[in-house]
Amino acid sequence: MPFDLMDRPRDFGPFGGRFVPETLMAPLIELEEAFEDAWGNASFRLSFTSLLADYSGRPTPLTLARRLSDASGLAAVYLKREDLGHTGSHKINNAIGQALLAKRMGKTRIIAETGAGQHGVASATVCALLGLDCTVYMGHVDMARQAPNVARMRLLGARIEPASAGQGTLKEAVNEALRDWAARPSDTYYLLGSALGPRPYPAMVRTFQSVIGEEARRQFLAAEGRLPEAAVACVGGGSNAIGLFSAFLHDREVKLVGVEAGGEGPEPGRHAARFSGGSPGVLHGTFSYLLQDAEGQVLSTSSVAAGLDYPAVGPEHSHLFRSGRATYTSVQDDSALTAFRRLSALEGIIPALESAHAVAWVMEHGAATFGRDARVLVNLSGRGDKDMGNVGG
Amino acid sequence: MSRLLSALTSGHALMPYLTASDPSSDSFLDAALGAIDGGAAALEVGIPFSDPVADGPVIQQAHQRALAAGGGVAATLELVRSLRAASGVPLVLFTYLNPLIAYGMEPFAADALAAGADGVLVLDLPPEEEPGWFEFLAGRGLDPILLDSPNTSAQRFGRVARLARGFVYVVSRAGITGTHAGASEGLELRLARLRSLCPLPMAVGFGVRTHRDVAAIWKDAECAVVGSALVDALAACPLTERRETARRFVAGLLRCQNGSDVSKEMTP
Ligand SMILES: Cc1ncc(COP(=O)(O)O)c(C=O)c1O
Repeated sequence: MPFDLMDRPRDFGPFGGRFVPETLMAPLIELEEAFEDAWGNASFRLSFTSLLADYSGRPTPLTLARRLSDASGLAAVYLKREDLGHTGSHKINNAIGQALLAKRMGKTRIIAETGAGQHGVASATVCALLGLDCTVYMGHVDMARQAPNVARMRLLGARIEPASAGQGTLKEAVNEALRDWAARPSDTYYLLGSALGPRPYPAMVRTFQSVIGEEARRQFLAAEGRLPEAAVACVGGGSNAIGLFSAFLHDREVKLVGVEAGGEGPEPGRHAARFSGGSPGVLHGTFSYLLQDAEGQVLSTSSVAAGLDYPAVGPEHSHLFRSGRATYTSVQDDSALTAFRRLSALEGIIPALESAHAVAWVMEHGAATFGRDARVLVNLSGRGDKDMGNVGG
Repeated sequence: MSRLLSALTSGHALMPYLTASDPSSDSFLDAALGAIDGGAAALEVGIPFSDPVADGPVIQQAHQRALAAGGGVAATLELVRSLRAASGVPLVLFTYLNPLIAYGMEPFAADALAAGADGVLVLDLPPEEEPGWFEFLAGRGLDPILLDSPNTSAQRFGRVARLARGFVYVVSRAGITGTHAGASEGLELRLARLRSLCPLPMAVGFGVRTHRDVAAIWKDAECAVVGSALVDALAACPLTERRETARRFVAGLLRCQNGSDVSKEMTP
C-alpha cells in the first residue's frame, strides 16, 4: 500500500520514529543531542557507573535458583537479581542515567510517569539525591493497587499527580506527562521510564539498562563456562527485557523470550499481549505494535501487574519480533500469581508481579521449549513488596 | 487558489474547532451549522481519538463523548459530506495519526477529498516523519496544514513552509488546547519572521476565548482559531439550543471590534 509506514526505515527496522505534536519536536531534538554528547563524555559515564555501583549497589548478583530449577524440570534457572538494586527494581538504572543527563542539561524540574510505581519511586529517589524537583503522573487505579509505592514517592519528596482519564493506568499517566512537557518544555525534563516513546527514548533507555545484560552475560559465563540456552524477561514497555537482550543479540545460539501480560484471557481489552493481539500503529510518539480496534482507537488493557498493563510496546521489540530474533509470548494473571507464590516459597525471593510473569513462563514452558538439559537465564526485574497489599500471603 | 486560501487571505477570519460526533452526529451538525451561520470563515473538524495528547481536558472529553457515539474516521467523513452538502465553507480535518494509519493513508486522502474536505492537519505527524504524503495531498487538491510552535526553529520552519498549503497553524504558546494564553507576547515579531519565510495566511490558535483574544490576533494574523471555549459553551447548553448557541458564540467573537464581550456573557 502506498504510504504504508512499514515501508520506511526508522530506528529499529520500520519501527520507532518521532510522531509527536510540533511543540515537542524541539525538546526531543535537544534531548537527543544532549544524550549523544553526554554518552560520549568520559566524566558523564563515570558519574553514571559510580552511582550505579556506590548508590544502587551494582553489580546485582546472578543467583542459581536450585529449587526453582527442579520445580521447572530444567538443568538450571539463573535469576538476574534486579530486585536487589536500590529501590527494588531495574528502573533505578535508567532513572540515574536520565537524571544525571537532566542535570547536565540544566533542567530543574523532572516529570515522570509510572505504572507499578517502581519507575516513580526510582525517579523520586534520584531527584532527592540530586536536588531536583519531581512530579510523577500515575493512573488513579494504579495509585490504589500500588499504594506502598505512592507512600514511598511522597516520602521522597515527589508530587503525585493522579491521571484519572480513561482506565486510569499507565497509558493515561504517559498522556498526562506528555501534556505537561508540551506546556513547559524549557525547564522540564521528561524522565520516561521504559524503552518506548519517541526517539531518542527507546535507544537511550536501552543504553542505560544494558548494564543488566552485560553483567548477566559475564556472570553466566563465569558460573557455567558457556552461555544460556535462553534469556527470558517480562515485557511492559520493554526496558528490562531490552536491557537483558541487548548483550545477547549477537549470540545467535541464545534464544530470547519476552513475556507479556496475558491478563484475564485473549479477548480484546482483557490483556496486554501486543504481539498476539495487536498490530503496528502509533501511540505516544512511536510506531510499534499496538492494541487497537479496526478504527485505530487504542484498546483498554488488563493485567494484575500494573507495570505490564500498557497497550503499546517499545519499538525495538517490534523489530526483534518481526525479524524473529526474539519470540514473544504471554502468561495470564493466574499463572503469574502462582509463580509469585512459588518463587517466594521455593527460593525465599518475593518477585514483583511483573517479574513473576517471566518466572511463570519458564516454570510452565521452559522444559518443553528448551529441553530438560537447558540452562535458562531469567531477569528478575523487581521485588514484590509493592504487591503485598494486592496479593496477600 | 484553494478554497481555504481564498477564505483566509482577506483576514479578520475566525475558524472554530469542533470534534465530529460530539456528542452525536446530529448535535455535531447542529453546532457546526450554527458556527457557519455565525460567520465562521472555515471550520476545523476533529476526528475523535482515544488518546488526544495535544488536547486539554475540555477537548479530551469531547473526544470521549464522540467515541461513545460511534465517532471515528468513517463517521467523520460522513459528517463532512453532510456539511459540504449544506455549505461551501472550507473544512479542515484535524486528526491524530493512528486512525489514519488504520484507515489507510491513501484511501483516507481519496475519501476525504470525495467527502468535500479542503485540508488535513495531522497533529502528531511532523514533516520529518511524513512519508511523502503531504505532497500527494497537495497534488490532489487537499491542503496539508502544518504547524509552527514557539520553539520551532527557523530551519525546521523552512521545511514546514515548503510543504504547507492553505494556511499555517501558528500555536500561540507552548502547551495543550484549552490553556488560556491571554495575549501572547512576541507574537507580532514571530509572525513577521514567519511571513518572511512563507506567503500563506496565518491562523493563530490555542487558548482563544474572548473577543479581545481574537482582536489581538487579527492585528498580526489573518485568522483566529477557537476550540475549547466553544466546545465548553456547547457542552453546557441544552441539545436543542446548540445551533443557536454556536451561532451566537461565533458571531460574538467576530463582532469583537464593537466591544461587546459576548463570549464572556455566554460562559457561566
Ligand atoms: C519490576 C518491574 N518489572 C518490569 C516492569 C515493566 O517495565 P519494562 O517492560 O519497561 O521493564 C515494571 C514496570 O513498572 C516493573 O516495575
